[in-house]
Amino acid sequence: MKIYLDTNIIIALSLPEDYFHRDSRLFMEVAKQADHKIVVCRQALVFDFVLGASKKPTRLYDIPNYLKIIKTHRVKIADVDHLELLKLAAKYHEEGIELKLGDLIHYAASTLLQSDFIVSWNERHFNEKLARKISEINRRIGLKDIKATTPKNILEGKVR
Amino acid sequence: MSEETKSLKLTEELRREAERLLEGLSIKKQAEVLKEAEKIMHSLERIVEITSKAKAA
Repeated sequence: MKIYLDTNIIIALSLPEDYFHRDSRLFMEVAKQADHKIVVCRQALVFDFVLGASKKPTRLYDIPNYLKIIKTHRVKIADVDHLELLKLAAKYHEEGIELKLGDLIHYAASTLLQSDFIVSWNERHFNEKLARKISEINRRIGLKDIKATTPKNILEGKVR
Repeated sequence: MSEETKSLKLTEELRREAERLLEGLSIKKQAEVLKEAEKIMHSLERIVEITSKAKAA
């Protein structure tokens, strides 16, 4: 199974005091044991980590730490075409998916990387209902269906 | 920012900032900005690579 990680999981892994830290670590262990392919998208990370630091540039200093976390957990950083990524995110928006660009970029990245699941701690923005709507759009343009869930649901065997 | 759910809040904050930066730009221009920003990421990846290798040696 190919699993796409939302940025909040990388951040949770880097913060021992974070509420989601323990379960994020557990999830990564279980995913490794199950031999799942875990991926993130370089361009989506650039959006969050680099463009997201535009107001507080000192946040750029946190990026090496996130990169170390990604490396330690053997997460693959995959590339997609910049324009294709932004166009697909815009398409989701035009088709009425009520999310902001930052979230849509991750749905688009996960789709372009042909992941089976996008996992996120943000259930409000990454859930079955929204993933179904995204999948309908994907199907119409010849792209793969996508499922969205939390690491906890995967740990508890609620999704397969 | 509460330490407990910092991962969620920080991610949302980063996305808000990135969206604000790209607001009003055409998709083509957004892609141009993203490409430029990627150079920073590449440099940081290279720094991590060099320092980890040097420390492991």
